[in-house]
Amino acid sequence: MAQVELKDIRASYGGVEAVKGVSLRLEATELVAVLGPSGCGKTTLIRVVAGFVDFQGTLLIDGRDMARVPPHRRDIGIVFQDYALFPHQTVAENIGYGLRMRARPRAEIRARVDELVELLRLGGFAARYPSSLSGGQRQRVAIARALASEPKVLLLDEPLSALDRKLREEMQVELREIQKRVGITMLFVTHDQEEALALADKVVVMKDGRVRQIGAPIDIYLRPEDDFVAEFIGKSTFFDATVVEAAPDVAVARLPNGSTVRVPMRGAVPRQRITFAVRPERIGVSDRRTSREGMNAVDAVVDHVVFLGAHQHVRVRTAEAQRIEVLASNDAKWRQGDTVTVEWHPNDSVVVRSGGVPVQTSEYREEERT
Amino acid sequence: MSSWRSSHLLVNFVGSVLVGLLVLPIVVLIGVSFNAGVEQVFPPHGFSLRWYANLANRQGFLDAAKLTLALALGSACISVLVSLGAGVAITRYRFPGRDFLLTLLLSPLIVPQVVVGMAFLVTLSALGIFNSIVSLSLLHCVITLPFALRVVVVALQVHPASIEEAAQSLGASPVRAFFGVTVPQIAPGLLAAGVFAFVTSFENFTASQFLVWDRTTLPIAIYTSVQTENDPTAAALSSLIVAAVIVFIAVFNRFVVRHMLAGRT
Amino acid sequence: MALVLPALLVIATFFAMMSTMVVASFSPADAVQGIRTYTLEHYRRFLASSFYWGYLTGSLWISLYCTFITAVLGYFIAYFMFRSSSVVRLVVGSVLIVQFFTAYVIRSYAVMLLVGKTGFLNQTLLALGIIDAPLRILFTQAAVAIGLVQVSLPFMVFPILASLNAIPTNLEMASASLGASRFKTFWTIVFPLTLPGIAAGVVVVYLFELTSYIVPGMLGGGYADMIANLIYNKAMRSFEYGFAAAAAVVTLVVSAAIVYGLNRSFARITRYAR
Ligand SMILES: Nc1ncnc2c1ncn2[C@@H]1O[C@H](COP(=O)(O)OP(=O)(O)OP(=O)(O)O)[C@@H](O)[C@H]1O
Ligand SMILES: [Mg+2]
Repeated sequence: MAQVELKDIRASYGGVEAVKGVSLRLEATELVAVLGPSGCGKTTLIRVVAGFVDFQGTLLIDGRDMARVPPHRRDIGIVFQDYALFPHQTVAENIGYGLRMRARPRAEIRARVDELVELLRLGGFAARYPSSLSGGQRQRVAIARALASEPKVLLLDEPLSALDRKLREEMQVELREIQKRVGITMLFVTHDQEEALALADKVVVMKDGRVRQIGAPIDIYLRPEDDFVAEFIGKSTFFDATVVEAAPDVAVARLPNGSTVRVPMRGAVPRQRITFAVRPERIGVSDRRTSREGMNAVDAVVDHVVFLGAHQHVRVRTAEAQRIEVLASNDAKWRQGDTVTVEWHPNDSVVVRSGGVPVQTSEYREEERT
Repeated sequence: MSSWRSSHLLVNFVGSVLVGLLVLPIVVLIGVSFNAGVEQVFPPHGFSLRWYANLANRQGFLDAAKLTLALALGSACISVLVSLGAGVAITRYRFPGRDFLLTLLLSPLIVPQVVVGMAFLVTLSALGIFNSIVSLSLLHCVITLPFALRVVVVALQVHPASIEEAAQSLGASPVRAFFGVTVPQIAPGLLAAGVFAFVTSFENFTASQFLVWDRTTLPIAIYTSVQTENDPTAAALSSLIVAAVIVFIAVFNRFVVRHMLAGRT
Repeated sequence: MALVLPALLVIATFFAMMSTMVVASFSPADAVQGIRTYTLEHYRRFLASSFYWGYLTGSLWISLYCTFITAVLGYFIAYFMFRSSSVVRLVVGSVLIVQFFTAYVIRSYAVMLLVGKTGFLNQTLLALGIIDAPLRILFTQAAVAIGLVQVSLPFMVFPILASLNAIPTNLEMASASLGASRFKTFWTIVFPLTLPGIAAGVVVVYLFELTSYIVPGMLGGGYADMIANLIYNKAMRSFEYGFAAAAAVVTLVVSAAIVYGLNRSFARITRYAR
């Protein structure tokens, strides 16, 4: 239930900088997900907040500077990717550890442990050792242990990545519910974009120790601010085009194959080179031009089809060898070599680069979003 | 990684003092060997290499050194070969009593050296064998085998049979697959096994001393010399051996030091 | 199974010799060649006389307290290495490995030069004015104790270091994040998780110290003999093979029982892992 603020945080390991100036703000009771590829500094960021890595910059929790506060006085709970349960302690002992370290009365510890065992549905396991639990059960013990002493902030470092898909989805729902019930500020690190988008109030996308974009999940998904974010969040297709006509809110641009498309864009100038992205599920495939009013359309040949159960992933190629990724419904059967037309609505395309430079910096512009 | 985990001053201080105390005797030993006079004092009075030169006059030490090296080399080679055979049987084939066999082969490890020596003494003297070379060869093969076997078995377990099987499925005969694929992979393990066997043999004193009728080994010669003489000759010889150990470790660093620092003794 | 045959041959030789020794321990001292008779006289003599029996109990006692000291000092060294930079770790590790590979006889001799009447220790203490006359350390039980600890330390440090290395850093982080100070993290997490390493070291060191010959022989100078010295003296000085064999058998049984007992009770420490 605390507010956390990071201002220009830098941290390095023996001269190699892993976090290169991150600024970030977590409001009280907010669930913020940090998303980024492996090695981008997510774990390091968590360690900075928890106090395990020396850093430069300012770290404030509820307005208090944490620079000189040792880890055990920070009142922060952590859930590790590998759980980090104490193997020589039972489930109940693990959960009660934080309270014992704070020398709370025994009766209180017992009551709180019972409460958490209840909350995390661990009934019947309290006397077991971690080695005899399943992955999902261990995960819940780790969460219970971190919550027991009611920390101000909960940090989770890829807490679900070791679980199988089904369990992971269950735990996502559970985490969200716990967070609502307990009302705790959470910083959640993951490299799974679906997880981040599903859980978070706010998503922070990182790359190479820097923040690339901060925003609500829907904004991150639909309005990536640069090509890295667009590429990282889902398999977008990128089109290079040249503006031929500029209106206040929309531009008409020409693709390399000569066909023109409409792109939502402010302040475009004719002859400007732009790159825009379209998400695979926003693109439709058909065997002839549906000529629906206002749709952008491109002719292509089917290259590759993967059946995905409810959907199929179709990769098509234009005459100019531009690849386009499509997530299509299963209504039609496509084969390699079929001649098709792909279509998308202009509003489903996002300009991620114009005039050769990124459209925006990575700074989060709150005003524009709301 | 950060000031959080770095150690407490007290730990550093006590740790350094203890390590200092641990090396102190060896430092004293080496210092003593350079004394100019006959006193065994540290810091040395004067500096001379005369006690090293004196070693050349000590035929007893030279003979003992030759025998000790021969025993150590011979028993190390035999133990590694015998362990390789037994190790392959134990890790690559399934048969009843496999675990028991391993326990049996390693059981001499928990028998005190003085008991081993006593058993050899009683048996060999009952058989009328009073030839030190024969008896010591036998003894050293017996005592080095479990040390070598332990390392070889671990090396073979780390390299699963599936690689050999893959080679065989590609048309190699089992024997060729073993020598062509597995042996090169476990070569570091075999070398480590040889090193352990060599050192075990080289420094063996307690069991060997029961069998030194007509020949003696280096550790026993040093012990006798320390008991009966009062000059730094033994210190010079010991310092040479320490120097050899240091060189040896520097050379085999890759196989032995890492192995041991990782905690696999 | 031709592969195991050589190893079986070696182990068979070993067991044959052990049984010969056991048979000898039951053979009368004045046995006539060719006639087999059995007697308990050697065992009776060993167990009935507190003089002989004392060698065993004395050895059990000195190796007990020396193992304790070795464990405490060994833990300190291992922990120091664990917490240090990789350079320090390599240096200290190399020191330990040189110790490990240097023959006991040389290390005992080195300790002898250190604690002798004119040794470095006495000279330093005299020079500092801490003592007026040289301390008599050499040829006392104190010297034997110092030697036993010095010689067996590497056996203790390596298994403890291995168990420290096996503790994931995350556990320490978890403990700190839950409010434990550094000392509490050590005491409630790190130390309990190194008990298996300590146990492994204790078994090896106790067995080694209990039956050591060189250290009491060289540093005790006959004034602090242990059980191994008794066996050797009886066999090689007074040629009482039967008696020496009986003493050896008793030693073997006692040490096997100790190893078994220690392993059994230490197995309980790691029950949580199953
Ligand atoms: N203890 C360390 N010592 C040296 N370098 C480290 C250490 N820990 C991490 N690094 C480096 O710092 C960078 C960031 O690592 P970090 O663990 O924060 O990445 P991450 O985003 O958590 O990656 P992952 O998704 O793989 O967990 C990496 O380049 C990594 O190699
Ligand atoms: Mg990470």
